[in-house]
Amino acid sequence: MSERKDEKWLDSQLQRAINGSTPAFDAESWKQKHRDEYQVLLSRGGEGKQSVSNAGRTVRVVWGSWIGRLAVAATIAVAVGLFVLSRDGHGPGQPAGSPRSMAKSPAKMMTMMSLQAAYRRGGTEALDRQFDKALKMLGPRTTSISLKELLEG
Amino acid sequence: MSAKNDISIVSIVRGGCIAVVLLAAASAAFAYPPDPDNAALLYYQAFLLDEQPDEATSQLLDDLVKGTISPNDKVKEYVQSCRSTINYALMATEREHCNWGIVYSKGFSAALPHLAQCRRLSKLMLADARLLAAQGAYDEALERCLSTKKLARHVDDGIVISLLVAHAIDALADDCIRDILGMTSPDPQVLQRLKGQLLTVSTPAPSFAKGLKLEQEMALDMMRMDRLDEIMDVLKSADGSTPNVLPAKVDEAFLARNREYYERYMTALQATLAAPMSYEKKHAELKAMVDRMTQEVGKNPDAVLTAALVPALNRVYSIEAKAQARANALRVGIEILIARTQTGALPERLPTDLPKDPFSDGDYLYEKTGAGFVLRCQGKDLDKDTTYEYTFAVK
Repeated sequence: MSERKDEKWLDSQLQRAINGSTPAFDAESWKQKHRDEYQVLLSRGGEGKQSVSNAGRTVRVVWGSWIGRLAVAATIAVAVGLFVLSRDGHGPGQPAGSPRSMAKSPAKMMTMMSLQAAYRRGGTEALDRQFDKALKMLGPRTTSISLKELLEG
Repeated sequence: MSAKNDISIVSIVRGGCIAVVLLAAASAAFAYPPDPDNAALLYYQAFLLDEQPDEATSQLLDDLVKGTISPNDKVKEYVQSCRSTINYALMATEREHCNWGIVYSKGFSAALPHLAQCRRLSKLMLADARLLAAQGAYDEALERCLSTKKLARHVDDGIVISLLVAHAIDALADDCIRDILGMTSPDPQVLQRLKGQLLTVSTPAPSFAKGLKLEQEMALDMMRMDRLDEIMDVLKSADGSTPNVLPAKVDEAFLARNREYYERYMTALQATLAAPMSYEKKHAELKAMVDRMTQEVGKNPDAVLTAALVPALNRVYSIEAKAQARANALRVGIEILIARTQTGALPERLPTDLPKDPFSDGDYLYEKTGAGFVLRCQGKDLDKDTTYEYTFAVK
């Protein structure tokens, strides 16, 4: 039997069991029968409303004072800063293939244009820093290969 | 009997000649190939043999090379571990010819990874020089410094950035030579030999003019529609973003106008560089040209590629003058030390017919101090707003 067929069958069985009528929730009867429970429900709904109005009052108090506005602005600035940093140094609107992403590749760091740009930015010191950074990634490394690895087919 | 003897002598001689010929042929067949005459091949082997130091050792090496620390066990151990690297580098410096195999057709995208390695190699060689001097092997230490200057000559392959690296290597080597001379009382023969070797290794003097011509050809070759990607890379690497003055459509007409502007600008720059005039006047003219072009870039899209490709020539010119000032000061210092060996004391005034201070075209200002003497340039580096001086200690 398929799932849909199961449901239809069940509905028909239920309808027969409940005298064929579509069941409907009788709110008034339930209120009368469960007076205490109904009061509890009402009181919880009032609390929710109370907390919403408290939050609104807090916002009005904070925004009303200059310290509050300053705190809000500082929080937003920190959040924006963290967001920008989390994008790994790519500012908004910075195109792909920007100098920073180009410079990350050690091979790109060693091109004529990249070295010239480094020199233009900071002279010999900047050039040396770029060299050191590239050498750390490029090598060379001492040969740690064994004779066996060298001759393996 | 005698006829028989004659025949046997002839046979022996004939047999001997044949044996010699066969031996010679066999020797030729077993001869191994000669060592490379291209220094770059030996340098590349030195790079492959090099062991990267850790951060702390690298800093110690830098400090030792600059003369700010004395040798210690850690740096001695490291330099000793790089003995093969140093030996291959020394072999390379003995070669006249050096071809790094740069793919010039790639223009500004050409990779120059050997520059980083050469910079490191030069520091290793100069650290070795300082260690030798500390042990009292002054002649060998000076030879090591001269070898480093030969490395600098090899690094200068005609590209502007290579020449800047060569100048940086030269500066460290010259400072090292000055310091070593101050550790000992060199005899006149050592000083005369050093004077001759410095002249040899510095001739012809490196010049940016050659590099600018080469880069001009590369730049003009690059300004084509089929190399647009490279052009955009150059623009981005120049100032970090694509300039606002680029037209919406970069087409052949835009490139043609940029090529024309670039050629006119470079021709004027090179003419100014080559013209005989004082440092101050030439610097002022070059700076005026650079400033005019920089102001124009914001309004004139024809100048965009020129602004990205051409270095600030006034600064490049000052770097060249500074390198010349340092080299000349060393030669003047050596002449003063030679004069001291002849009279037993430092001269009261500068000897005549000595190399000049390029910033002023005049003599260096000479002043005796308690520890030796100082040579000062009369002219100022107008970009750094600095007057250079060179201290010589005398033992």
